[in-house]
Amino acid sequence: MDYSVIITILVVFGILQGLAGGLVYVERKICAYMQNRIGPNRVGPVGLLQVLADGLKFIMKEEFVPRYADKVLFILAPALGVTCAMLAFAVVPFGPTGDPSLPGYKDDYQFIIAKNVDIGVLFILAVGSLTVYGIILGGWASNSKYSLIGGLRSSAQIISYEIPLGLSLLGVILISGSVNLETIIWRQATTHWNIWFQPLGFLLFMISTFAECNRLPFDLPETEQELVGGYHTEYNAMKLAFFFLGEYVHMVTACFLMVILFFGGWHFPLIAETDSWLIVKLIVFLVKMSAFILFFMLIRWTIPRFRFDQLMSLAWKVFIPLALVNLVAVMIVKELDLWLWLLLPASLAILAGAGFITTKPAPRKVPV
Amino acid sequence: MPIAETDVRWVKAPTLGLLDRLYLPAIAQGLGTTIKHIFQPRVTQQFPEQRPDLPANYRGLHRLNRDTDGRVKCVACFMCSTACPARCIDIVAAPSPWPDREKYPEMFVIDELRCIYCGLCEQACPCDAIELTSMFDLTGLSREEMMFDKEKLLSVFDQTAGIGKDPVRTKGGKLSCASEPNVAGI
Repeated sequence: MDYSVIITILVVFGILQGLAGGLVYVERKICAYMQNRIGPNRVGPVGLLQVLADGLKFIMKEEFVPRYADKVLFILAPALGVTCAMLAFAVVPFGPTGDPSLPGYKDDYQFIIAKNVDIGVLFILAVGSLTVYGIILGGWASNSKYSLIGGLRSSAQIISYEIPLGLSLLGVILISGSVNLETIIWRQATTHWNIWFQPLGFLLFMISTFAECNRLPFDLPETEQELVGGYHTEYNAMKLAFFFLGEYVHMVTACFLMVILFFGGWHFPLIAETDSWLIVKLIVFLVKMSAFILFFMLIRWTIPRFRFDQLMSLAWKVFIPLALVNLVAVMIVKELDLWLWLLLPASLAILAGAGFITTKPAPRKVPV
Repeated sequence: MPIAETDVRWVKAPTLGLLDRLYLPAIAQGLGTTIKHIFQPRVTQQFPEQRPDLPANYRGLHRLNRDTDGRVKCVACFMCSTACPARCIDIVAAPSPWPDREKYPEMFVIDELRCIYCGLCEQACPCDAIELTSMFDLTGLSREEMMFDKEKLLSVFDQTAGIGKDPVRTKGGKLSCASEPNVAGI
């Protein structure tokens, strides 16, 4: 019996739950700073205990279930959302991992819950997209128009963005020759980061991730202005907190994924090489991840929300063709055994080409 | 009459170039704006600790001014309660105990909940006895508590006259322009 796994699970889930609270605080602070405000600063030093106060409020509140709601599904929905979000984290390395091809890899301690899972990326995509069930169920079970529309929007949005999300990853998987996340990190640590070969893939993956996490500019399931609160309109107390928890865990997982797949995981040239100390690798990894979280929050207050038809046409008319062309480019390079660095200009050329195509003036529609 | 063709100016929407179509430069520009704001000074006022710097003509809570002898300046002329559009001033006049004026207010009550803080009472007062101060955060637990009587309004004067924010607008020593017409030039 390997107790280190159990301890890792407990520590990671404990930290993740605390982190979700912390991220709410960071988000509020950053939002305030961007609007030249101060942000939460009343509870505790510089408002740090705001997290505790909010958590306490969530716990102490009355657990209210609307009379016409489907009680079982209503309570199941947030639990499902948070479970799936947490489950996806099982195969995500959150710290330095070794070379998975070595025989002693599984015996050493690795900063991951499930070591050397050969379906890593597939597992994350599969389980991560299950979180939408929580949203759809919540929207349906609330028996309210706003919630239902929020849930419907969410389902349409996630179905659409699953495709570019998966397609944009295929390039990385082809280059690495594996869907095992540790192998992908190790390959980048010993050669080059994937961002050099897949800048377009990264862009598509990142934007699709925004949509997957229901973050602004794609937070249509919970648009405050038109849907009150969207799928969680009828929720309060701890059930609402669970939705938020799931959302933030999803975001943390997504940020880890972006670092792992495109930015070399714990690797950083000259600072964190394969033979560096564990602590250096860990810090480098977490700093990269935090940078992405900050970027998520910066974007949130920078870009206004998309309209629903814009959201759909972005996925189907722009992202899926671009991801496909990008994939074809990787396939050609791999098949003909060309120089891998050709992919960098190729990606940029594809992006510029897409721009050129849309720059052509559309034929003027004459009203009949 | 239809608009003449010469008055019509046709405006074409600007065509988007390649960089505009990629949207990335615009997003980077937007990020630049938000990041710039992070490092700008904060505009938040920490209210209870940090009081706002109100202009001198701010119209807050009323006060009844005292003259140099510490007596109430008001001569119970009813000008303020006549001018008051909210009818929130209630005065009961009585013969003055002092020889330099005929009347004085035996009772002077302002309903601070009815008052709309328009400042007309201040403008109407011929002897500058009623003035609006910069105190704005008055609270009470009952309606009766918010009926400010003469003692309370005089105590507002005692609180605000010394701090320099709400200077007494007439000179001391004289009762008012109402009793000394030559001074005010009427």
